[in-house]
Amino acid sequence: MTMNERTTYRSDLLREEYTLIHHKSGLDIYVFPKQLTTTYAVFATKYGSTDNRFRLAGDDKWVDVPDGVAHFLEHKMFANADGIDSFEKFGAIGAYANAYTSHHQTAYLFSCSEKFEEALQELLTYVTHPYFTPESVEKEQGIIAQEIRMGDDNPSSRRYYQLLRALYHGRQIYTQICGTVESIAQITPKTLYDCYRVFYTLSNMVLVICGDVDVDSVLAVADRILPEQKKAEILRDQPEEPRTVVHRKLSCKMEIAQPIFAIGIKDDPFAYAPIDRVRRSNALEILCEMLFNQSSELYNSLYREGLITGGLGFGYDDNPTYAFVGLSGESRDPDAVLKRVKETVKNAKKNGLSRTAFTRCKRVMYAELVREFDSTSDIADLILDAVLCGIKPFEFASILDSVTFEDVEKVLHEVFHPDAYALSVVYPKEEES
Amino acid sequence: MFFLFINFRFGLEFLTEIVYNSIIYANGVYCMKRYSLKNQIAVNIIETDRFKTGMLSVNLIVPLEKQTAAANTLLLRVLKQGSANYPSLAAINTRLDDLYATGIGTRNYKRGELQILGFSADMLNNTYIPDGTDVLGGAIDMLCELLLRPCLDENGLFPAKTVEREKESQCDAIRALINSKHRYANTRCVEEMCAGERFGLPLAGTVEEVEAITPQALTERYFALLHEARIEIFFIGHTPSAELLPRLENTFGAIPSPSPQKAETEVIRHAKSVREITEIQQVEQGKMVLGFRSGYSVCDADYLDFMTFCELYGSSPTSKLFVNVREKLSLCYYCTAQMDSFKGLMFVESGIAPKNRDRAFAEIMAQLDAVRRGEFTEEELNNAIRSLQSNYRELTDSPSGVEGYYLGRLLFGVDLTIEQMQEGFGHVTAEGVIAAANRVSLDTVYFLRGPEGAPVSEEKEVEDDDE
Repeated sequence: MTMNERTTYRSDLLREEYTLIHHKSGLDIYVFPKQLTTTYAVFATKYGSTDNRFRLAGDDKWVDVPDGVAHFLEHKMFANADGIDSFEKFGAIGAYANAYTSHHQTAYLFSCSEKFEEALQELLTYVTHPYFTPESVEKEQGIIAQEIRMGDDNPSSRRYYQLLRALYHGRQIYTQICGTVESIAQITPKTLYDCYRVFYTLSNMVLVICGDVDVDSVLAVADRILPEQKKAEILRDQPEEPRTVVHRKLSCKMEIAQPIFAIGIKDDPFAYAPIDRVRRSNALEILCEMLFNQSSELYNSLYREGLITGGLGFGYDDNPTYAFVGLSGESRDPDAVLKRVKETVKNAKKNGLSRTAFTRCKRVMYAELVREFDSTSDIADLILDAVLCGIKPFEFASILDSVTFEDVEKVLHEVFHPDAYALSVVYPKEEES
Repeated sequence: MFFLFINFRFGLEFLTEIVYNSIIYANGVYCMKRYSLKNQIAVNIIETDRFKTGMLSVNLIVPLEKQTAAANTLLLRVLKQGSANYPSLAAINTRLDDLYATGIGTRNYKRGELQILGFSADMLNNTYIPDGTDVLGGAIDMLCELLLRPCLDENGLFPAKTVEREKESQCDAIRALINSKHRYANTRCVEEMCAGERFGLPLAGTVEEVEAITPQALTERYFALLHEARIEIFFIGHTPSAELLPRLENTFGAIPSPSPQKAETEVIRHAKSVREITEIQQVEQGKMVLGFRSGYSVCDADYLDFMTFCELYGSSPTSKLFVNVREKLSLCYYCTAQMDSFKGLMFVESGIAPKNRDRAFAEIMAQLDAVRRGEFTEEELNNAIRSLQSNYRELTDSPSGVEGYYLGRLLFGVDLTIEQMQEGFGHVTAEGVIAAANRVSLDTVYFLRGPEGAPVSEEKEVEDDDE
């Protein structure tokens, strides 16, 4: 019989530790003890809306599935053969259950403040036992159609997908995570089982638990429920994404009060090894703080001149198959904001960055990282993030510490290329774009 | 309902320690103590080492009034723009970044018919600061700057330029309500339902009210507010009160004489008749909001019966509404019941295809009737109770959640700790839930939908290569 392998990691800086178990089933389990009332567990698979064409190594044909299957599958996982859905089972234990789907991940989670073992048992059981029937699939089509309509009426969601459409050629990236009313109509139980078989193998999944728990109690449940599986190699067919953007600007009109915009700067970090990629990603986030945060010259002048109302959102969105620097806000003149952003970058390239601002913004990033360790769900999300990035969770802190002023200067020149920009705007109905 | 205060001398001469009669202990983790500064400002402290961060808030509590709500909201915006020593937003933010990204937030919300305005700071505990920066001291100083050392011009008024810009921002925010159909529908339902009550007033006022505010009027409002408001300070974090209190006395002790505001909220116990309102906008999905009078106020001894009813009926994924309206009939993605404890309201919200409006309405009411007749299992009742108990247990993991809970209870004179709440749910019976379901009465049906017949999605992609 194969054994479970455990390793414990400690961070003196954060005064925290966790244990990683390579479970004999093929699953990686992270147990992060934390003396809070809420215990949080998340069971995730590296499978999201972008995985539309795939096969297992050894299978001879590619499988193509309609848009929105990963999310549909997530909804349907809660149904069980005994007719009692898992929400109800968690309810009976007093645990709160939920799930979400992103471009590259589907995650099932619960939080509880008692009866942790029972809740964990339910989580591991229902996610490893698919049960799809034609009737239940049909019913779900009605519910998800309303979820899609809700997104259609949401200006921020429209702005986001429109930005992806401007930046990316690959349909997998810009298509809505929920799919469309038409695409989900094609889904059958077989589609769901096909995807399940490929992506819900334990070696493609991870379990993260954070709270007042110990490793042995977790393993007792995992040993009982999880079958030993052979590692399966998953092949994903993703078209090569050109470096250039598709459209410089896309816009649409909705019934809103003032234009809302998002600026994307397309990046290509895919050649970097995981640790270098995270360091680069940290450098970019520090740079964004320096250029765009509320202490920055740009934000303050835009606000003073009334070119933006409220805040200016910014950040680096780094994903396995796409990455961009994003800026978003509300403005009567989004084109003018874009122009100012480009000028700011141009000036920074010409005149250099401020070392004082660098130190200050790195300090901001450090503080934000420490803050994440105050909540069991934030900690679990951070670990999932690390898994997806291919690094060890505490490495986020050491990598951040290693970022130099020169790293930040380098990404400024490397990423903010004039051709990498795209603008997405949602205008009010009555206005001309 | 009353507080039992035990007064005794604290080590420092000028401070009075008041031990809140029921010591709060969540799993024995922490307790809240209530103190008073010399000027009677209340300071509520929860000393705990559970978190890597600390939270400090200063809350000004005034009645929600048509004459002052818009100006109070504007005031908060203007104060945030600069102080005497940090005259610009950039100066404030740079200082906050230097304080290890100390976050300063403003708050402006209703508790019943009270308007609660204030600033809060969240910061890393000094133990996580590698270079010894006094982050807590800096945060106290910054809150004090923003609230008590405003940036005034040579005439002693808020600068006209700042006031004008923030007025515009506030008007933009008022107009931006239509951006979120969900929020819009909820707000409209409250406005219609409570049209004759102060609770129906929007916190930010109307565009006309905001436009009418002058720098002179705003400056007067500022001094009046400091004088009229009841002030409650909260701190949750590592720092011992013996260290914190003198610092607060040195800063907020300077406020002349805050007033002890008593909460007065009109609770209408029963709806007279049902009003129906339908509005048309360019939307794909219809939003239906049903406004009920709950028949309860948070001050009622049997209030937990109502909360349990609301949970069982429509707040959890095992509730009647989720299971039937969403899962069985697949009419919607969401259909939930929310309550306003302080004003005695309950709202059922749902996003549905417009053609299903009548079916969804009938089912929502049918499920209410089912609860009224006692058609629920012991399992459903226990699920609701467990879910509520668990929510309140988990609240203790969130400093702002704990603060919000106690501030609300303090203002309404409800003497119930989070732990007593959890215990209390254990005593709720099926009879209590049935009684609550029967006390609830439908007041307003609000429906937002797209125009009939016309295709709603008339979006055009505009390709605009601007360079």
